[in-house]
Amino acid sequence: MQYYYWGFGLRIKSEMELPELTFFPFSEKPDLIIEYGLVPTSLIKLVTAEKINTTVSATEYLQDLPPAKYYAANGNHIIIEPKANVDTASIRLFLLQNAMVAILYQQNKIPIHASAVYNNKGITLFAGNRGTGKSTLTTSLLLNKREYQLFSDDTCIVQQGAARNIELIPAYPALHLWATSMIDLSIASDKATALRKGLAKFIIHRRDDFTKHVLPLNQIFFIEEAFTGNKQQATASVINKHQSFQWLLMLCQHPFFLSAMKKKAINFNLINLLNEQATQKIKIVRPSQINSVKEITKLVEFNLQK
Amino acid sequence: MTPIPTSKKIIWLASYPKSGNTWFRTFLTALLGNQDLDINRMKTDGIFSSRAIFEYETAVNSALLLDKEIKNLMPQVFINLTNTVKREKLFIKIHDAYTYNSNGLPIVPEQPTIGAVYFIRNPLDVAGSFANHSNISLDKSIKIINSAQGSLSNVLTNSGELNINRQFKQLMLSWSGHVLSWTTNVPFPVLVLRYEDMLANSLPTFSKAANFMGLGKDESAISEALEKCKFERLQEMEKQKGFNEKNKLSPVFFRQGKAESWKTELTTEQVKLIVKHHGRVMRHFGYTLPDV
Repeated sequence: MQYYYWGFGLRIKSEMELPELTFFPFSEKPDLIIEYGLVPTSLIKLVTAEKINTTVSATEYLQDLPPAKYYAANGNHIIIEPKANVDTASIRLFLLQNAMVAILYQQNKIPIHASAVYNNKGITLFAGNRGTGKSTLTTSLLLNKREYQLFSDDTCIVQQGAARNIELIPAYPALHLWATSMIDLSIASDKATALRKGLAKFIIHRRDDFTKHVLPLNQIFFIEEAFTGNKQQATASVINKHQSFQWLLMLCQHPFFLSAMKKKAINFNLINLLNEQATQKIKIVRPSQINSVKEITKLVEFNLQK
Repeated sequence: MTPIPTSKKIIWLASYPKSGNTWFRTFLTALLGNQDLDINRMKTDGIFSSRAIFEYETAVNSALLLDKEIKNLMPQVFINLTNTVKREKLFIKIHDAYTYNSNGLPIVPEQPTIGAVYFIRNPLDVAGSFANHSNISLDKSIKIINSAQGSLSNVLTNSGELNINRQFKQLMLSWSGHVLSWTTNVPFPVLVLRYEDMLANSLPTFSKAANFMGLGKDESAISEALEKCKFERLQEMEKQKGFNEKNKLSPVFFRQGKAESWKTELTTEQVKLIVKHHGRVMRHFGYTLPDV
């Protein structure tokens, strides 16, 4: 059985069913083929960097994770070797979180830690490291501001478009929330599916929000969780393009893959172009010593470009 | 790539919570640093349960892994960390008990370990301090101290593990279980320091630790470092600038820094409950059991 999808800006032909992605029949040559099989025991090309259970070369990636082993090569081929008695959701999760990031770098694209919404003015990006509350903020905004739709959650892909244009591409149309955020936002559990067995994190599909159109980038909100001492209020401030550039440079996903695959120059160039495109950059500092998700949602709503 | 052979670099700063570990790390910071002590910029090397260290060594988003999977990878994480860091010694805090993962290996690897300093404090005093730290009642604090499966940062919900903390779940066992795990059949040298001795006989006690750790510091340097990390000074620093290791729920981190506070904090019943569970281990480490 083969499945045909659109996800991460790619036409994907997969032996594994991937309900996170958008079903998308096509007859052209796929951009990416995903297969089950035995992964190689070592890389063909010279290994450029290693981490625990992970080896990377300029064009290959091999990672042994608890649910499966993954091999990604040349930006167009993934082999999955599942472990015994593992739930398929767990296998899919690390396929989408790790092996897909390797594929994107191999294709000279930059996946960044960002969630985003869009309306008729373009994309509003929420950029920040993992755990800063981007998904909760995005969901909260979608609930409060009905004119916005989900562009992407957790991952946005920066890629070269026509000429010197830069394109922002969504990963797939779904939100990812911890159980506590669902309670905070009064989202019923029957609206969500467990991300993996044993984990209190859920996925909420937003298939109606899906867009294949290239949209302009409007605003960027940088979300920073920081220890702010005795000052316990979230703050918002406009930052200049040099500050936002430095920040965006550090938000590439799995920076170890980026350096091992020698994509730092590409990251620099694409991020520079992305940064030029945004009309306004705002930094939100969220105190780490308090739960301030509601407060930062209000700050973002107040600062959204009308 | 050929792995670099592991040399021994890690000195574990191990303790049940609220037993003098942070105080000792402020001392090390003052002793090893040349500038004034800043409690928000410790010169020690993080905590065993840190997601940041784990993710650096594994290239995996640890929030998506289950606790069992994490613990199976932990020994290799610290072996690799030792291989990648150039410094001679790493001082790493740990509140986990010395336990084994599902592969049957100790979660704390022997291979990169020089030794451990184990801080022990009278559990009667730990009860009040831990209650303040976690913003829980004394009864709840005592329940955790007495629980064979006591843990920190453990958020297990009906729907699964909630990995929203910056640290992994730390299985501490009970207070006695924690003490015994670190002081019985551990395959590297362990120096036990009593919090009460750190308070009453600071210079000889801290000197013994500095000597065990091979820090090569003389008595005057140790005295100077002790002066910098006097409890009142730490309290003042926290008041002025806050403390980034304070639990979100807790009013202050540096609370009293005294011994025998339990005499005014605990009821007779609460004392009895602690002594019933831990009397044997308390006596073994020189704590006089109250007559209740």
